[in-house]
Amino acid sequence: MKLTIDGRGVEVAAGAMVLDAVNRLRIPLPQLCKDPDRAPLGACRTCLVHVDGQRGLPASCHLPARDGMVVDTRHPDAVKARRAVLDLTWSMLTPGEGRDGFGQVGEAAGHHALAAPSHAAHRRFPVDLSKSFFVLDREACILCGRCTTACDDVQLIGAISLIGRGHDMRVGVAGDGLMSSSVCTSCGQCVATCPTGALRPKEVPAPVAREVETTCPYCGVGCGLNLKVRQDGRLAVMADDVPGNDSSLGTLCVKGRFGTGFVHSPDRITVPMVKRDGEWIQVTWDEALDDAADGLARNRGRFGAFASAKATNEDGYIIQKLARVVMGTNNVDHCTRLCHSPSVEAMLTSMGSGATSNSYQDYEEAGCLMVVGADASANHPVIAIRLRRAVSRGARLIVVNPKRIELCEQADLWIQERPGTDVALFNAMAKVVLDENLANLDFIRSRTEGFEAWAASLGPYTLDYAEEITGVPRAAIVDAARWYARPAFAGSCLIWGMGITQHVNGTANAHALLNLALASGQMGFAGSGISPLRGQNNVQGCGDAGAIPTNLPGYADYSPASLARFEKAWGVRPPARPGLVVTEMTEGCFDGTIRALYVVGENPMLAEPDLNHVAKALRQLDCLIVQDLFMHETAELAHVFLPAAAFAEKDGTFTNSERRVQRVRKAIEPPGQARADWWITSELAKRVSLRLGLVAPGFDFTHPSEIFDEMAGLWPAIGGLSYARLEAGGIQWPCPAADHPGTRFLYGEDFPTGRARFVPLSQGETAAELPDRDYPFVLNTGRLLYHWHGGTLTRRVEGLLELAPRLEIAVNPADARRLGLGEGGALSVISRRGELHGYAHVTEAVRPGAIFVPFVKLADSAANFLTNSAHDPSSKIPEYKVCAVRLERV
Amino acid sequence: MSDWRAAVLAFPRERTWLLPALQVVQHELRWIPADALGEVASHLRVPLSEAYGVATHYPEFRLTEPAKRIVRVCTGVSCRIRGGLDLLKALEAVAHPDVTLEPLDCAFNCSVAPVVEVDGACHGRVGIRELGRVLNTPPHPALSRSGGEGPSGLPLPSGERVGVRGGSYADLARHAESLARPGLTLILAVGSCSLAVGAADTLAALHEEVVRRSWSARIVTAGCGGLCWAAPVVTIVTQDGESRLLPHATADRIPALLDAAAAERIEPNPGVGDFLGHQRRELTARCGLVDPGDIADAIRRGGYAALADALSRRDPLAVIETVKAAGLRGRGGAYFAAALKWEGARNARGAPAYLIVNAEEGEPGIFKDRHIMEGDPHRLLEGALLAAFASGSSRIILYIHGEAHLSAQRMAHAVEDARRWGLLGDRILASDFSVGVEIRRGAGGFVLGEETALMESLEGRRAMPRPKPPFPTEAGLFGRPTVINNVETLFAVPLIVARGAEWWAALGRGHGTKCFGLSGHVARAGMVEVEMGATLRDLLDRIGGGVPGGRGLTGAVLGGPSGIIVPPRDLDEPLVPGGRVNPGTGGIVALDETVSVRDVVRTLLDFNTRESCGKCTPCREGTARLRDMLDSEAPLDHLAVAELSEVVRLASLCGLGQAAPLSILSALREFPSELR
Repeated sequence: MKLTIDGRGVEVAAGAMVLDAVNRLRIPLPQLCKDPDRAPLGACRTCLVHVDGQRGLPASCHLPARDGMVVDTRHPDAVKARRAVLDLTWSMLTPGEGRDGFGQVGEAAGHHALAAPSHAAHRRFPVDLSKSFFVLDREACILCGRCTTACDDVQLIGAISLIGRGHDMRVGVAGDGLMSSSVCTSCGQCVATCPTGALRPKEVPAPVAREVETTCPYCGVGCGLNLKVRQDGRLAVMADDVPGNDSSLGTLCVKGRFGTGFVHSPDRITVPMVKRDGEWIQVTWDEALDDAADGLARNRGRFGAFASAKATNEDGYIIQKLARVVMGTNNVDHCTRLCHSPSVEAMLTSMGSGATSNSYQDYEEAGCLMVVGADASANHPVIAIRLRRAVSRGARLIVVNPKRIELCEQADLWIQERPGTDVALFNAMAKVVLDENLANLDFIRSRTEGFEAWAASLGPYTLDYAEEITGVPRAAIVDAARWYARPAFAGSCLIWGMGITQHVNGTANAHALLNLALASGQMGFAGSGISPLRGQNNVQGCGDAGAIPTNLPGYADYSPASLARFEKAWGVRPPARPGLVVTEMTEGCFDGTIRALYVVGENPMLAEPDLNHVAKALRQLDCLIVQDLFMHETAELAHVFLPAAAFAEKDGTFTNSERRVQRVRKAIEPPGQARADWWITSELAKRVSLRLGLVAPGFDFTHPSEIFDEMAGLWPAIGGLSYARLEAGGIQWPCPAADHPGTRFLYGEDFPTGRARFVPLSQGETAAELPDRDYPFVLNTGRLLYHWHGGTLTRRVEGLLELAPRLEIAVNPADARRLGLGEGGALSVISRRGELHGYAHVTEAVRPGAIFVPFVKLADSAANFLTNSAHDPSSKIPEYKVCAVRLERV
Repeated sequence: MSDWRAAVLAFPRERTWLLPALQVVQHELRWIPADALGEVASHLRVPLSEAYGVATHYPEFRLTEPAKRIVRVCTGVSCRIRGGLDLLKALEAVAHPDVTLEPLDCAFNCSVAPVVEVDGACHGRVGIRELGRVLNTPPHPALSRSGGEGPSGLPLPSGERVGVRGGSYADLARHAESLARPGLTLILAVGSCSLAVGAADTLAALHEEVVRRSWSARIVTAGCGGLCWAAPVVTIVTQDGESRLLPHATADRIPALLDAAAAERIEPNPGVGDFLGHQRRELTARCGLVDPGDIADAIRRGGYAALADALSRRDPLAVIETVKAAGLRGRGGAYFAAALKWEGARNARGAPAYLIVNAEEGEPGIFKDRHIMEGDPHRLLEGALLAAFASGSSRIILYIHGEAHLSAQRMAHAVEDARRWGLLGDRILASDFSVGVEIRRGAGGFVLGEETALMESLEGRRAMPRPKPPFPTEAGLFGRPTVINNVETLFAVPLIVARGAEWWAALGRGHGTKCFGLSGHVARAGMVEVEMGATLRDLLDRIGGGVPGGRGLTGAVLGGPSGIIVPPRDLDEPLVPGGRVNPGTGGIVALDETVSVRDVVRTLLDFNTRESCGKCTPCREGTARLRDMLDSEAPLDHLAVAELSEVVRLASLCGLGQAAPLSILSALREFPSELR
């Protein structure tokens, strides 16, 4: 449609508003209540324009553009009315510290020759300083409603609202208390949209030189992040969201929005170091790399590498290539072992692909969501938004979790099963699906195999039995089965997390879920699917890149054919025998199987179970190389420290939980001599090759895009991707060709294995270590919203530490009473392996006899000193979720 | 578990039930404690701050605990100029810790002003000397609560259950006829107005006298026939069908009045003659006569015949055409062509489509919709069904003001009866047309008069208008096509469909008839119906009997807080939509020479300031600044007032904001000397 605005022609798409056309021409027009990325609110009435042939002065933000429309923003009537409205608006505000110019109000007043407001402000409010990153300053508020819309309609948190009515209206929280008394999660969506600075960061404003769009380094959601680089070269504390990002849709959580400051942490290691006589000394890159290369060269064959799910695909690819091409071993693994290896293993067995089958969009379109052992609000907050949105659109939400998580508030059904009884629970649900004829027989017949044997195996899983084992009322099992198998509309999504996998029977648990999904036919169409929520930003990509001992890049197996294919590409035939997994490598330190370990961006000394045991293992090594940002617990045990660049300091790609490959872009220079991981590893590889007399090792890369191209050449699923294509936004694999749009959901037509497989299984021992007289409590571990994993990064962000400063241990009120523990009371948690100190949080969220400890290290100890290294026999994942402990009041 | 908890938990866990759930809590506890708000929020999955934001937005919700008794004195224009302020002052002087005393913007009982409400029970025409009696009236459980038994304390009439569901209209009519009981009938007009001035006592007296005299007579409680000034009113219908109207039939006068009637010595009241004779009571013809609790009575008087006829023709477009040809325009004040909305919704994509009956009459000084619902609920329901049929709506929502208890009760009863008689639900009268009806209650808030704000409230949100487009007919309630019509608009539909477009178009210069509530300084206050084009002089003098006490008339507020103050020189202007004097929503408050126009303007402006939803800046800030100017000691700067008013009028988001400064603008124009 063509319009004329102030005499200038402009073309906009159908559905556009007049304001869009005005903005396209960059004509300055106030638009205080209009968030550029959201629907118009029509509240501030400052974008009034004159339209030829139309009465009155319509607000251009919600005036649909029509072909041939003639609009005048400078018409005297419009200017006069806008000026008067701006005057009323400005008259709401009281000048004061931190309120310079009132943002867009000041700008608009300037454009309208308004020197001072006509009226004195009516409203008096103290500034609310109760949140760590930002303030709520109502004397600078014009009640435009952008913040409350952001909180309620965008994030669906509802911490702040417009309170009261008429002239008495204000932005506030329930009971007119402080922001900190609300459910505010500090996501900052409100701060980002506030036009006046009534909600503003506490950080003293500094001029911004440029903005760089990249991908968030925290969890596996893969949110678009717009980093603001200040003129002094530092990142602003607050990053912006990226509305065009299809995974995050312009939302962020507190960690993404405010948590990137760790890159400037004063304790970043910025110079290569080697340990001499037990002391770290700073050296040149040459010295450090030579030292490291010597150590690796003398341990070829007894080598292991921990790649990092925090690093890029390119970084991961180079590390596995180092292991396979130079070090002659498949001993390369990463943290997936500690989170979703059972899921990946089960999915590979059943379907032939270890990835999430669907997209976040499917959660929003689903009629039923079953979230099992995943605390999305804390760990994947932006996915939690989409779950809440689905619920508000009428989807049923079933939460399966022994702990009462935030999502339970939204849930239609909360199933609180006894830890370790998931197989019984899901087998019983599956039996209900079969017994009540809710199974999708067409799907079973045409798309699966092994159904009969599996169906027969369900015999013992009656509701009576399940109720007894799991402690879940039979009615709940039946409801969940019915809702999941036959949602009221669209399909069902099955979403799970560590609560399923981090058990000695992790793989069985995952299979039980997959069997249920297959029997119900809930995959392969919009609004359905199976989703293991990935914990780290690039855990999907790190596996895709081949940093796993079980498969070559792109999940290629070790068959002669695929070995030949890689030999052709690399010039070296990869070893045919699968390598050791993370936990096996740790054990391998004791018997000499592993003598040199290359640990990149991982901190096993926090992440692995039974940390005292891990420390002992690492001390056995001849050569421990740590490549990271900080001198963390593992690094302290190392021989060589190689300082790496952080996510904001390098280029690359991450692949998120919905298989979306997205660009990571360099925003700032690495500090000191820190270098990108791919560069360090390549240099190391070249030096080791030299020492081993290997020729043409293939590590001469000048830019990560070259590494990506090599990967894309080896794995058809990303064959259609390139940096050039990814410039326009992330794309979901499989994307086999340059003109392929990417894939929203898998299994629409078939499975990589042809037919999906039912795998019969039975409920085994619930856990390796059960409570007894000496250790009467069951310990469950997990994460917190405000800290990420062990806290290596988030403990270095002041505002996050302020939001969660100390270790809180969730204890049931009945237990607290018995132990004489009050809220906040100091206590010790002791297991057979270790001990930690924290403070009681007395809550019904955990069952009596159960406690929950976040595994972030907030004091001198961490939860994983307590946990058990007992592991799932097939995936080798340790049992983080269950061990026996006792509590002592301090 | 207490009652309110169980009731709250019985709601589906959807935000749309937020207002109903809060109403349940307030109904049980008289206020909403923080923990109850928390439970409601948690059950309905509404974040607590949002729930708090909603609860604080609606004026009827109490978030602080009231004293044992709640006394509210109406200070709306009609009441304040007839002594309401004196009552408030007198009560303030005797403040008591057991009493929460509050001013009330309007009790919507303007025709029996001044009004004092004690624990939910309304008392009208209260003089200072009656205050003691009024306060000592024991709190009536039924009066202080919404729903349940009739707020009048009268037993609900029991509906007839018939087995003709799905049958034809002829079957229904035959059945209704079979239930008729000819003979002497005493019809008592029982509306909010008459209940406030003793109708319940009159009813008791009638029963007593009929028994005492061993008459074989039926006593019917109808709605108000518009003669609020004469309430309580009894109409005696003899065996032969002759009727006699007995005005001022207070309980103490009943024996004498019945004696006189028996002796046929009832002198016609000239006031009644003038009051009714100058009206054109078409829509309201059954009000005051038909039993709102008896669907058979309504059917015997022609109820649902138009619906039956339209359904039998299976042609919804024909209904649209008829109403379009008749030129029926919306009676909510905007006068938008009703049939165009129906057509819009019918052509829009998306199902289900909703028809909302806007019975959230919340403009102080306007009470005609309440009279319609109390007086003839079945005609309204029939109109709504015709509109739903025409617009292709499958769900009707009757959105009734939170304090219009008698309206809600009678509508609920009518809906229940209609359901029993097969006039609602699936395949009505054996046609393909199916529709469900639900009653929702408001919680105060003038802004609910704005259609999109009302939809927001139905969705469990603060009542704030949405920017348009999209228009409700395309994307309204829950994003579905939605028609929203005012009560009076739908009330006209059955007659238009029954009698044809020409009949309506021939009335009122093509605009049909219009209902008005008359109050203030007028001898005969009440609810009247005239042809459009009638003048204020017709309404105030010929029908209303002029200013009492021989005083002069200063002017009249026309249209409530969104309206204007009409000066005497415009009394002979015809009231027509789009004319020089717009009839507005249908409320007229006469102001005699003792009234301060400045005080009236200030009252209306103050109301608009407090009742602004707060969403848009011009309305929220502008009205407050205008009020400040009126309150200032300094001489009023007319130019500044006019300029600011103009901005509010031009720039506000919704019609209510745009109309908020109209009263002060008209006062500036017509009564400049009063605004110094």
